[in-house]
Amino acid sequence: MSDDVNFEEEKFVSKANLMVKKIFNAITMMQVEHVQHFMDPSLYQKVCEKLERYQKKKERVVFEQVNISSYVLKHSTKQSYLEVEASVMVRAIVYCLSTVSNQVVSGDAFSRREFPTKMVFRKRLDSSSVDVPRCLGCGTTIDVYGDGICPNCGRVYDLANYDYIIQEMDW
Amino acid sequence: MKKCGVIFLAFVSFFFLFSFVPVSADSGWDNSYGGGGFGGFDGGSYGGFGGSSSGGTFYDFSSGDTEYSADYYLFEVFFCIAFFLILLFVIVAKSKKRTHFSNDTEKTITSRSVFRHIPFASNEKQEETYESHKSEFYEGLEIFKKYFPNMTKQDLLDQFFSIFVSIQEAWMNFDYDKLEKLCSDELFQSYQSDLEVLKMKNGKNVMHDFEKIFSNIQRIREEDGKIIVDVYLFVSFYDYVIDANTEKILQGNQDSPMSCKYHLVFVKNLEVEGNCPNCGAEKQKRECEFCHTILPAPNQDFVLSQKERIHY
Repeated sequence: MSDDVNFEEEKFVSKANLMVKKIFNAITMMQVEHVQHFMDPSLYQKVCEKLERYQKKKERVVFEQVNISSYVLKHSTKQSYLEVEASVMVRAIVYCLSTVSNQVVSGDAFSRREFPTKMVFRKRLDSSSVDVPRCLGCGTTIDVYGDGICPNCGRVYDLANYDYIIQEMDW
Repeated sequence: MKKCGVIFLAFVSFFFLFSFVPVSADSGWDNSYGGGGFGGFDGGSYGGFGGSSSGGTFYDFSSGDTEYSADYYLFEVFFCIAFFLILLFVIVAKSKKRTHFSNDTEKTITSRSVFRHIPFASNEKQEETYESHKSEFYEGLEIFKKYFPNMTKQDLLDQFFSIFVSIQEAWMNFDYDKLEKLCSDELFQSYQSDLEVLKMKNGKNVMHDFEKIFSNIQRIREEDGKIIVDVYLFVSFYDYVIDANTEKILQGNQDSPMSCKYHLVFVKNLEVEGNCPNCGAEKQKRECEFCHTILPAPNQDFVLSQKERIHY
């Protein structure tokens, strides 16, 4: 049971699905900056470092037809945040492409594989909900499930002030 | 209790047959096995019993030849063991079988149990679940009568099937406008993201000849000013991915349709906010035409909110 009085499992699962899918797709498109607001800064750093290692090998990792299911949630309350640990099953086509020859260097580009993944979502205890997400810098409305970047001043939306973000994720 | 009864019967059969005076098996023996009298048992597993026995030639199931071993009892022992193992296999397989979406509208499955795949643990739990499903059913029926007084269940199912097919077609044609109208905001975002990756690969997902095999409403509920309908859909269609330039098949089979079972959730807003919360202008799309605020569009009609493929 969650201590978050506004927690609704279906809504959470729906949002979590979208966030995770967008992250995998951003990794594929090599546009992780567009999903930065979904991740804790430490996780974003780890993801960028991992992608850099692939880039050094002149490779890119591709996730296709991503589908996340079988959410099992475990709630806990820490000192200053609410935490939800989600064990999920990810089904996707995963492979590595050479950025030079565009050929598959590892993985199977035609069939989906299934792998269990653990993710940790966190929300600040003092967070507040908002009807129209706005940039804290200039007040422009933000497309949270788009790239989360203010089209006016370029500031990244701080989703952690309002909702759950991903603290940890295996991939 | 039922399982114990079956196991007990199996043991009784074992000892009863074991003590029988052996009779000649006829050529129909092999045929009755071939007929699959044991339900879902795969006849191929009999290959394991084709091994040698202590005396004479052993009965060959695959060829159907009826050569008898001098040792009748050994043959019957093996037969009884086989019979007992088959019975055990069927019991275990049936007990592992997940609960199916059934034609019986009184025993519906909640969306929560679909997401979590909660198995029914005991009879008491089953009874409890059944009672709660029954009250959900009657509640859903009241909501249906209240908001759709001139529609039948079939009308609603046809509408949902039509939405489903339109979405697949919009997906195939990268028609983002149509997808936005027919899907909830989150689902639309998810599809948009997937289509970007597909476009990057220069792929196109071709789908056609949709045929509804069976569909049923599983649950109707009213929550937060919305009507939410859970639907089971069993559909067949052709589905394959091609290279958009060369039209070479990358994935799937263009010669035979696939059959899929889905759990779909359709949502309709009862309280429609037709104006942009930022500037007050009339809002019909995600992005306000005047102030460009991006927020979920008002769903005045039913939209698809979730689509989950069922693998059992």
